[in-house]
Amino acid sequence: MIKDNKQLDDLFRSKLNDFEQEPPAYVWSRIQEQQAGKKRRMVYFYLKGAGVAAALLLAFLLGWQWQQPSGEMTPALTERQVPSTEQMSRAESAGFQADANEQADAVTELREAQSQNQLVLSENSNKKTSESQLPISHNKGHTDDFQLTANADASSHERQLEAGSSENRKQETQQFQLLRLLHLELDDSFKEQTQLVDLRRKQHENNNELNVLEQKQIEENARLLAANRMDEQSAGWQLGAMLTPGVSVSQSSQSQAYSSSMAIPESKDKLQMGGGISVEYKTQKRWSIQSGVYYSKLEQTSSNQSFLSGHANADFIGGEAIRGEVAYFNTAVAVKSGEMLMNTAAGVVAIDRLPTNAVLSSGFESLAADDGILLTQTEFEQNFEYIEIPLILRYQLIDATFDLQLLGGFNTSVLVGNNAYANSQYGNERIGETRDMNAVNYSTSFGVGLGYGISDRISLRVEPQLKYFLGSLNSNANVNFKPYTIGIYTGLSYQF
Amino acid sequence: MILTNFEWILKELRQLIIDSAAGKAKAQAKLYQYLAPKMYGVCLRYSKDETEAEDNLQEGFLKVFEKIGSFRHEGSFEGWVRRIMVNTALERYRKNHLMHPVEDISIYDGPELNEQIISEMSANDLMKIIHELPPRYRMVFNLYVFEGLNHKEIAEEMKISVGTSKSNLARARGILQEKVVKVFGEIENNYSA
Repeated sequence: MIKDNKQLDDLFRSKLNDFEQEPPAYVWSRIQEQQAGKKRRMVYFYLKGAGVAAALLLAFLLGWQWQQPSGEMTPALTERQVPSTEQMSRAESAGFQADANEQADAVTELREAQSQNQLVLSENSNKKTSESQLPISHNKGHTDDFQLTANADASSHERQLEAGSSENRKQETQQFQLLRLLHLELDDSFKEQTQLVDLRRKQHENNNELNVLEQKQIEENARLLAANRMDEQSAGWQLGAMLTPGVSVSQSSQSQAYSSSMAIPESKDKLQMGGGISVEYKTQKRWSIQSGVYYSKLEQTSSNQSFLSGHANADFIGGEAIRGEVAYFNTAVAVKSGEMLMNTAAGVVAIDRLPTNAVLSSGFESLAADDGILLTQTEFEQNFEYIEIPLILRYQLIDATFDLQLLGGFNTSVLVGNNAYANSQYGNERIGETRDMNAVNYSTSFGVGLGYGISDRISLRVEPQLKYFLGSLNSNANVNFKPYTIGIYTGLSYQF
Repeated sequence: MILTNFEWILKELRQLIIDSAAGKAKAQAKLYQYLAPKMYGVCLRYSKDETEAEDNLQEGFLKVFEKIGSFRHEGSFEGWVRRIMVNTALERYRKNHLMHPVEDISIYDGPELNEQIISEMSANDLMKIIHELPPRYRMVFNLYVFEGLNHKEIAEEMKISVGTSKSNLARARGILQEKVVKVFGEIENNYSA
């Protein structure tokens, strides 16, 4: 007969200590899947980072692409200016234009077909202009006349150079190349050229026809140059650093079954801080396009369901450990295969550690311990952190020292932080995370941009914006969590 | 140099551990095949049913492969893995059954066991009875009887008082004894019918 505990312990020990049983084959498959899943999550994490970097790089590259044509305008204008005022052949734009040789060949052919005293003007950047200027005939016998080509062909160049003007020409060529490189002082050089033209005109008093042409050319150049300068003033890049204090207003709906055991949502509009860097490209007109990288945070606060004294689980409150603490609340939680799940307005929170002052009551003696009641005075907070890449279109209403813009666009938000906290007198403890949160979300933004120019390049910006999420942030079918946020983007922008 | 069989096994195991730590899938599969039946047995003792045991086994092995690099090759590897399995079961228990109430400590006075019962009870029958224990009793009973922990250690592991641990063990034994007799009774009846 077995009477003492040792015998009972021995019975179980002898039969079960070395007990072995083959686990089902799918357990190993699941282990492998989870291991692969972990690796995938890491890859996904890096991909997200790479995606953000790529988006930024793309924005910059696009900007450079747009900026490129306006940058080429300046050399084009100086070329136009040179032939009309200088009337000389020069090695033009060989270093700047890839197709220079092709055009140059054509010009050389043309030149050979015509007499030596013809002036040939060639425009590389503007075909129409070059056609209209090509060829322009001159009076025979003028020794100063020569052919102008856009050719870097040294032999033809040398052949046509007149000894008297070659020194000047060389100097001026250098001058213009330098100008082109520095992209500066167009104004002054233009004046100098005009003076030179006047001098030349005196030397060619007999040639009225040419002078008229020259005049027209000068006027055209002056007009284009002015237009070009205006373009340069308005088009350009802006880099901004913004702080975005804002409030998120929770907007959610749930299915009835879900909400029946849901923690009560609280609309505590706490000020959230975000911020980021913006990149903006301003077109020549009133439009500009903006992107960047921002960090933002959303919050959902929940409290408990009210205390139900008649509830079966209320019995447990009688325990010594918690009797001292009055008015415990009850929040229904589902305990399923090792997880404690709590329904909230923003989605299901998976609690992986109990808050300090909380007690979980479950069917202690019953085998079906699937449902429980969380007894606590704690308030629950769910935080979601996002990295946002906006694509915003702006329209300038007022453009002065004080400027006013209307803006609207789309944001892509990537979830980077998902935490649930218990907030009580014991402090703020992390208890888990919210399930089924979408990794990528889309939202629209509308707002007004106010700017004040502190200096030519730096301006202070204040931009109230309303952001509205296009879809639920949670993929759980029972929850529709679509908060909107009102933020005031405040910061400095630098124009370059 | 000729290695004894035991030495060879140890050497192979050591290599398997090193390869598993390096993330080699074949080595991990081999290690799993070698240890899974024993560890499933451990998990079954700590669980209310096979599903829970499978979950623990899965979670436990994921931890094993994650932390295998930190195994120092001192002491038994099997013991190290077993400890992870027990800890996994404890964690699950803590998550699901953190409770404060203290129940009655009355020692259960049930029918007695005899030698015949012991010899005829199969391991599977006993496992079934263990599964039917309330979770905390099962935990305390396992830690005390199979892991060899004393009440102070159990109290620390489970964040309960030493008194609670003692009373839980007593209660677990009472329930087990009653059930063993009951199950044996059913076996008897089946034979006689």
